[in-house]
Amino acid sequence: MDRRMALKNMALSFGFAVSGATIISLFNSCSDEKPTLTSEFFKASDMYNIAQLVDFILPKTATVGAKDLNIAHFVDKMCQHVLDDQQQKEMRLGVAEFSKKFLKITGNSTTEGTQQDYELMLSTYFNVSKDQEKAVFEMLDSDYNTLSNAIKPDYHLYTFMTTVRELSLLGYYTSQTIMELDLGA
Amino acid sequence: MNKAYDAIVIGTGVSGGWAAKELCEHGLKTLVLERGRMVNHGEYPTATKDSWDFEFRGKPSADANAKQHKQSRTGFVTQETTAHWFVNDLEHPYNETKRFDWIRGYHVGGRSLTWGRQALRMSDLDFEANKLEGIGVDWPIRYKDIEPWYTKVEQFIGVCGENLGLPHLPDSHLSPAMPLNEVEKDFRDQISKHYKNRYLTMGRFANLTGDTHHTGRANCAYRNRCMRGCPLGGYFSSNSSTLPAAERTGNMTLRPHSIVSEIVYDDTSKRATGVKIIDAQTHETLEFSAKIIFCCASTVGTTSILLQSKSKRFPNGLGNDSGELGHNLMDHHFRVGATGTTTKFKEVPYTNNRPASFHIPRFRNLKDTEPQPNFLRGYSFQGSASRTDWRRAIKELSYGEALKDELLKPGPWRIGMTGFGECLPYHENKMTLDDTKKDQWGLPTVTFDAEFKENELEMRKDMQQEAIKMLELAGFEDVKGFDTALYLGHAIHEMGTARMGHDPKTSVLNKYNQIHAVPNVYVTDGACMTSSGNQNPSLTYMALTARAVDHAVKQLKQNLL
Repeated sequence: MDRRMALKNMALSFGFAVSGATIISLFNSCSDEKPTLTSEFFKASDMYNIAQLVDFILPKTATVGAKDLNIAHFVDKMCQHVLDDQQQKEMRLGVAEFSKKFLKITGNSTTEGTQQDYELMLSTYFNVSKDQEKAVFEMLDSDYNTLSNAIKPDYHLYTFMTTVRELSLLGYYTSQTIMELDLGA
Repeated sequence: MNKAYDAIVIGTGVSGGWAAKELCEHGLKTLVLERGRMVNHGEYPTATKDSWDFEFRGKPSADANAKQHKQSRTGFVTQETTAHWFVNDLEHPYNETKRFDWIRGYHVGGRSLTWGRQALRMSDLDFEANKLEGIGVDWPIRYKDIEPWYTKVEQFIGVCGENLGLPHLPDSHLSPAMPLNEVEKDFRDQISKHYKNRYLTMGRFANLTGDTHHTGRANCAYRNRCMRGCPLGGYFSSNSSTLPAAERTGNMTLRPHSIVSEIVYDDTSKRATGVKIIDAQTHETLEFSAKIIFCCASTVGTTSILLQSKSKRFPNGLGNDSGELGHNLMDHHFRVGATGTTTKFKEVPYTNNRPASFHIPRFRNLKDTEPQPNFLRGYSFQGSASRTDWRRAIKELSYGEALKDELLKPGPWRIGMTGFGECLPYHENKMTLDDTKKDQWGLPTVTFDAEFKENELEMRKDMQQEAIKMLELAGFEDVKGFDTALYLGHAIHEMGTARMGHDPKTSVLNKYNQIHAVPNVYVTDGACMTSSGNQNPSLTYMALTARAVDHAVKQLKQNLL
């Protein structure tokens, strides 16, 4: 599939997901306790959003989850100290786009969002076909200035979501807890 | 502090360390000058840290990157684990007419602490090439001239690996090779099955294996953190090996924070009489004298010092009668090759911590092969196979329990290799000094103007194509070629700016690394190289240094210097 076509298909599929989203959001009822996290880069309200995301990306199972290792804090620290000015700018645009899409898809703001709302956001944007996944990374690797205006919101959204995901993996899998885990191997 | 010595060595990297050791062991009172800070063996601040001990898990912060904004372009030297071994680009600026990745370590030991440790001999295929092809100038030495010195160096530094008996990769003095893993062994067998003149072997690395005693050092413990400095002395560095040997003689005076601004020339005696230095901390100017001077400040460092050393006799820099000083700048070109995966060998035990890679010696343009139509010389490959870790999932959108549990397990085997290709000497590839842009010590800054040309670019096409072909023939899946945009300096094998040659009209140094017109000044770092070969060059610099010291000592005894 050529890239332009892949991107077009990707946008179309998200359109579908968005219209389905409002129905699912009707079932949301759970209201979780919202942890307060001190942050350097993100606003406190965004930290709630990131804490929810990392917990879905790396949930607690028989082994510890991202929340147990305070990975949201790590993501925030990395964004503050490791990303350069341009990357930081893109992350701010990305988190704003995430909030916008969140409201559109779930009907709630990110700070009011339930676990189901977050799960819905993740499945909408991450639970995609391999071709769509490839197209996402091609978009992220391409020159921003060559992207059409219609694609740019997706670019910002995915910059934010994939960066949070990658930093979560880094923080989690290089942590002492995980590196010293006895996997019985 | 004494002002007069028998010998002065400028620089403490692989070449300077060897010059210091050899001169001191011959009984010469030797002043060893290093422009950077002191680093005693064992003073390696990150050597025993684990991933979680690094605030940013090894990644450089944006602030750190800004301070190393040029070197950080390489993506690998300025990590949190090793950034302290590389200079601050803001404090040590240089200029680029064309991009040049100048990777510098200003401290005792220099880049011997961070080198790749691959120790390969050059052969007559390399030493004769310029003459046969009419490129640049002829090397004034042949393999037989350097052979005993390679052996001497290998015996002292400790090199592990496997001899193949190939004329173009001469056998070395080796301790037992580090093991290939099962995937690499299978690749080796496949290559042998499909090709007559291609071999996969374990790389020759300056890491200790076997049972030979090396004073103050222990065998490599497979920590695979060499670039941080090894508290065990498991690999060769000046700090663990040559400088302690020099120190033991009682003949060495090591002076850090000493920036050489000029080699002083006396036109009456036609000799250099000493050096002027600036103390990097106090900015005080001092002068030291000696009978012989060894320039081992690295290719660009040494060339800068010579260009700065102007006199009535040498208005264009010491020893620059030929006008070649600063020209013929070379570096190896790499980061071109292929990767692949395999679903086989999932059950075999493995570790990912071997600090060495496999090697596929040059197979193009050998004496008994058809000449390549599009390029001269050749290349070798270096690579490894390993089980992938959590990073295999970076370019995915997967999440949740399945992802988390999957990434706790080792991933499939992945193999990758990059070519290391020869770069021809081009007169127009050069470094010059800019007197209008001075550094904080009032010394002129370096300007680079060099690029890879058609021969290298044509070679790269073949490198990628052959890497893909070999991996596919061997049965790897998902084989992908790569060819990453590349600039000189990136391989950190910069060389050639004060080349050796027969003729003072076209070269800077003679066959013993003496400046033609100033025989008590020897240049034995990368600046001396007449051609680049495709081999990692440090072993050759060390061997040439040991050989040059032997020559200098004999000349001194005969009062010829």
